[in-house]
Amino acid sequence: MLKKLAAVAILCLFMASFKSALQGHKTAFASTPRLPEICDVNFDDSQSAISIIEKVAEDSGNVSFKATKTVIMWHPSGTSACISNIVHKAPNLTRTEYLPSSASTRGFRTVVSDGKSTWHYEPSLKVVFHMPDVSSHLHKDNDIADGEGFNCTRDLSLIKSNYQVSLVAIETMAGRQAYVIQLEPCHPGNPSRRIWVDREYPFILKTEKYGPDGVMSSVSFYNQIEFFPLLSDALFRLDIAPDVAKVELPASGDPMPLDELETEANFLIPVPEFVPPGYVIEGGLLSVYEAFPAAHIRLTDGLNTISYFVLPGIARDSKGQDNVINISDTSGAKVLRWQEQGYEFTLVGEVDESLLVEMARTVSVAPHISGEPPQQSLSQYFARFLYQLFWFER
Amino acid sequence: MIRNMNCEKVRSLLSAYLDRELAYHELRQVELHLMDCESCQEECRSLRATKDLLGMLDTPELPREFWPELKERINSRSMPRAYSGLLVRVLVPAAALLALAILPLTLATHTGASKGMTQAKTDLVEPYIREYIISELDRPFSDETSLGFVATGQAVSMYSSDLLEFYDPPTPSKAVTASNRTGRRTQAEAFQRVMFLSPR
Repeated sequence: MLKKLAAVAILCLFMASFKSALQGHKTAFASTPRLPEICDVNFDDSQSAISIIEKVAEDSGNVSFKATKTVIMWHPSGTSACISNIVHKAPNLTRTEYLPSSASTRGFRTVVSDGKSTWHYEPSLKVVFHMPDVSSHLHKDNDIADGEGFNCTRDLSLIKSNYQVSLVAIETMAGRQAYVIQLEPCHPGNPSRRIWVDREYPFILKTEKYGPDGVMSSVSFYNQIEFFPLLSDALFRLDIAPDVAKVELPASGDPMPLDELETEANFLIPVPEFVPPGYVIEGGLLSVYEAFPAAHIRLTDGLNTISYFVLPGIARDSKGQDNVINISDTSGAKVLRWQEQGYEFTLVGEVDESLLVEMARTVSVAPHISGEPPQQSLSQYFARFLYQLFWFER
Repeated sequence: MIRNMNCEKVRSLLSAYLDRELAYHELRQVELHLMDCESCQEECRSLRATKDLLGMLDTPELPREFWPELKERINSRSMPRAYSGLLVRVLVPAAALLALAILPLTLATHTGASKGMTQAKTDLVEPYIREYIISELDRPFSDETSLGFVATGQAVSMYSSDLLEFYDPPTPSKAVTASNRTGRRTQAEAFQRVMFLSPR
């Protein structure tokens, strides 16, 4: 009898502990961010699409996952592609392993971020780059004054006014149902984007980016994904061999208002009179480039960025503003550089080239800023012309 | 896009590499090759040692009569007066006419020359691209995987370029410092001379 009573008591205890464990699990699960179910999907209703992207902007970092992802980028000089294994443990632990291609036998490029700093291990160079994460996107949930970094509310507000956001379809992506949302720019000359958002969690499964000309510039998508797996913290530690060199990279700061930047930089910063429609100046950062102080001013329309760099005191070349140049780099961004009166200016962005050229055209450097503008005599002009002709054609 | 260089090509460029005469793209290709190729590394070290030895040699003093003798020899080989007259009367006007004739052609190629020049300069855009990419990470819906792929690639390119420092004799370099709003100062390492610093 006693044995039966003891068995019943043990069984009760076991069931009670199981129930509490189950409740605990439910509580944990209840805190996971989810997208509200849209029962009656109306593809003409932009409000549904906006509510989805708002939830994604707010909560995507809180979705833990383990996945394989493919990225392909097209640009004039070629195509870049990579496959990566990613694990993310909410809210801020991420490990990304960029897998080596079949053409290379070099090891994985591993990037680990813990929310405080980012470690980038490059086995081919036997070096690890360390960069403190003081970037403003850590403060997503904080109240940040305008001009002082990432502002989710401001960016979403800009997106709503500068883009036509619409829910265009429901498709299957990586074995999951996803809302397909189109972000079409209201102002010409800007890139557009199409995103696939998981129907259950506020998480982007696929992104297609199109240039201002409508040609696809990049696509990234998850081949397979597992949400809320069990992830050990050990995954986010980077074990480095003792012979690996450590390189400290500078932290990325938060943008400051332009007047503060000018005071900090201790030089006048010529600002373009023309700002592409829909863009606002969100602030600037002070940098150092080749031992020269440099101002980096950021403009945004909520979705895209234009970076404008001003370096005073560089006299590499005195060619004029009409010599604006244009190249594309691996990111697909256009780069415009020119010099005027001892200043070197650079514009970087994925917008149409004409917008960047128009910005460049409206930057005026007052002669008093850098002294007398260099005047070239005819003989100097021809000497320079012949120098360029023969030297650079070597 | 970096193309692979073979050992023969790299060795032909080593002297210019050590003298810092290479264009940025060539320089990066040489550096990337040197990272993997021990025999070229050895060749590079050997050439560096030779250059260092040559640099240590004293410059011999020329005898006092060297310059007058040289001038005399040059004068003795100068053209006869008859040829000089021909030069003034015929060749100079002909050369002037030729110059006028080819001027439009050279002006037309001027754009091409400028293009070459700008191409050389645009090799230094990596730090800008990297800063731009880091800014893009602040945007909502930014794809951190692809941006991270580009940003880390830029860091590697810049670091590879800076490997050149290893082949230079140690020289006291100017420290790059930047004060920030809080008064903290950032000391830049050699690598960071090609990087942006963003002090807070």
